[in-house]
Amino acid sequence: MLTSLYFVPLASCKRIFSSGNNQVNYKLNNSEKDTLHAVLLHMFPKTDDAPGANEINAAEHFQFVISDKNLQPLKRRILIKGIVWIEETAEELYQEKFIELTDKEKESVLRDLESYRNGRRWLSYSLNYILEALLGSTAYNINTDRVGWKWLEHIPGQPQPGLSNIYGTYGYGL
Amino acid sequence: MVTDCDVCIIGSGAGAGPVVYTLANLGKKVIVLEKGGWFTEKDFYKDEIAVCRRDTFTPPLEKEPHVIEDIDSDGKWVAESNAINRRNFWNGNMVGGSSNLMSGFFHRMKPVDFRLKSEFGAVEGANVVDWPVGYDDLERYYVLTEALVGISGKVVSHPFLEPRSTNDFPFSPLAEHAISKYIDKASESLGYNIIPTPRAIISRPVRNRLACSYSGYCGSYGCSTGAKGSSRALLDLAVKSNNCEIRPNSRAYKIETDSSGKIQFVKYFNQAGKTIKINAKIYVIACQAVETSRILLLSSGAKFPNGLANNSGQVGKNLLFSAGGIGSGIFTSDQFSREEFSNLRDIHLFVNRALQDWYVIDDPKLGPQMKGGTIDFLMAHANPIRRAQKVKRKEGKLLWGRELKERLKEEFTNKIRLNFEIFCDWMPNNDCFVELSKSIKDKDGIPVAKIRVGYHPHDLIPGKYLAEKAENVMRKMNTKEIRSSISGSPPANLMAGGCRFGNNPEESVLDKNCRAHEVENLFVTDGSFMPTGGSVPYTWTIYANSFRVANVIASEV
Repeated sequence: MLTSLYFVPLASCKRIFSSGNNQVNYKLNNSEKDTLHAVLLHMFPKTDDAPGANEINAAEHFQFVISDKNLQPLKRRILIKGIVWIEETAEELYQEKFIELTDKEKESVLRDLESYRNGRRWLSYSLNYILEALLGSTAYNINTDRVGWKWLEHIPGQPQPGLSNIYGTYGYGL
Repeated sequence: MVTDCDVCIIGSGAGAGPVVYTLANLGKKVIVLEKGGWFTEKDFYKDEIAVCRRDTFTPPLEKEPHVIEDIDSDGKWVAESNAINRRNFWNGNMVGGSSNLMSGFFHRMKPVDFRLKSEFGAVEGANVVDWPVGYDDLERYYVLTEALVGISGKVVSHPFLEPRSTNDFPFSPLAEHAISKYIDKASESLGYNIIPTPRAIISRPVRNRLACSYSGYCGSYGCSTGAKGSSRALLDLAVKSNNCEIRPNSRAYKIETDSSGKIQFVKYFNQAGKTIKINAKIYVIACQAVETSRILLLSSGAKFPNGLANNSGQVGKNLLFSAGGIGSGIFTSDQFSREEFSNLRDIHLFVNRALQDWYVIDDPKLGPQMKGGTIDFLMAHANPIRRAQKVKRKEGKLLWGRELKERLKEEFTNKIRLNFEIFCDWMPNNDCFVELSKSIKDKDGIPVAKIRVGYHPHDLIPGKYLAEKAENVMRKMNTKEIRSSISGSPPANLMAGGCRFGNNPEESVLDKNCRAHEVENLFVTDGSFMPTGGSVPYTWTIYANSFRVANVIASEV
């Protein structure tokens, strides 16, 4: 059992500082990025008829989300700390990094994470952001070439925003 | 005394627009203070992430929370900031208010709604009263709203059709979804009187507004053609008169009174956070029910130790929401030909069907006659992310991988979801009110509103009765997975009350013209005045009453 899953310490966000606009300057390090990419791809793999996490830029969208200065502080802490929990769980169960695991082992790690309240929260939030990347406006650099809309035969509303009109550029998102 | 304007109006939504329009066009100088930004058609995009999944048109709850007090499973009242529980009671802070984001299901209240106590008697534990005005006092203002805000529809005779001074709506009905004819057929075979739902959406261009472009994604979004009848439809005309100044990003927080109890000025924060004072001959508050009560409670003075116009202790009391609930069912592709199913998957057109056969329920199984309500049918919202989220769980576990993708494909390409919404009276009661939080303050150190959201058990009775009727229609159409949910959970976007009007100053805040009993130069024109709300969405009545009160104010400045 991972004791760190009981709480989400503030220290997990020590690399966060405001950049003065609507973004908080938190950058995942390369190791965290590798883990995140692998997890999101496991949760949303490419299939014959459909895009996967890479095709919809799900990991980049995750970075966009954790950099939003208006993100609830607890949610930000969980999103960042969750990547650490996944590596801790992979180490505990298989003594390997997550990216080195087989699909079956990856599944076991994530299902183990799901058995904890905060782990379940991380997975649920991440699924939400995968679905945003799949079906959100392309102006966010997600849903590349409308691949998600095409796959699900979804017709978007009009007008769609441009890069200068996305969340964070106006209203209370500023 | 030199004043900055004739009338200062705090808020710019449906309760404000008619007052602003009327006064400005009569040559009165009007200043509008709006806490949110000023957006126009060119600023509105169908961007689910910005509009529906982040705080863009409402303040972040970390900075401007409310405290929500609800009853827990042990029957105890528990108060918690919604920065924690995320129960958001903001509805749209921008010029035009939440009317920018409404769906615009517009039904008039009916004569019986104005005399609920006389018609149906008292309900134990509920503070039901008759209105001090009747339907006839509002009828011509309902008509005015049809023309100026713009309401499309078709009048059809039915047992509870309210009396009308005009034959039909000034705008013809909007184009209809293919499902509507199925609803018609099912309802008619059940002997129900299905009627077209009037919408505050124009079907042809008028003045500077374009007709609806049927882009889908209507409710929750600002309208990029101007077809939706938001309060801006009136504000824009007022500004053109050169008698109206709208000040966006101007957050009023205190109303100061003199020793006689008359308002001297309003203080607000401008965008830079600087305090500005403004004085006027008459002040109008229209901040939506919760925030209207809050600013009155914040504005104590020598004559009003418990808040402005609150020596009766009535400010914030008898807050209303809309009782009722929602339901849904699905159709699957195997129930139709390919062409039919393709037509039914359309997300652009409007269902626009309603039932009001049980506006008054006369069924021996429920005892004496009781007030019923309205059923509206509508397709599930087109928002794809929200729709996708609905399939991410199965039997309590999160889904991912191929199983999630298969369910997504099934949901989007093989299913159509038809919803219904039920609107019933929310019984005013002693456990539904606004007061100031003693412990939580906003980003500027001002106490936030605490909202107790208790409901009366009676509310569930007509709600469940109507849900059965709606489900009958769904079953007749062979809809699958029919579900309904009738609860006492308050829909935050349908709020009213808190400053009820009445003839007795000890039991009401406002007189029949929505002037504060205790403050000569103060009017409240949002939905706060409503002592009961009828069994329809409130917005049309708020518009109509605001037009009515505007004429009273105009006669005094």
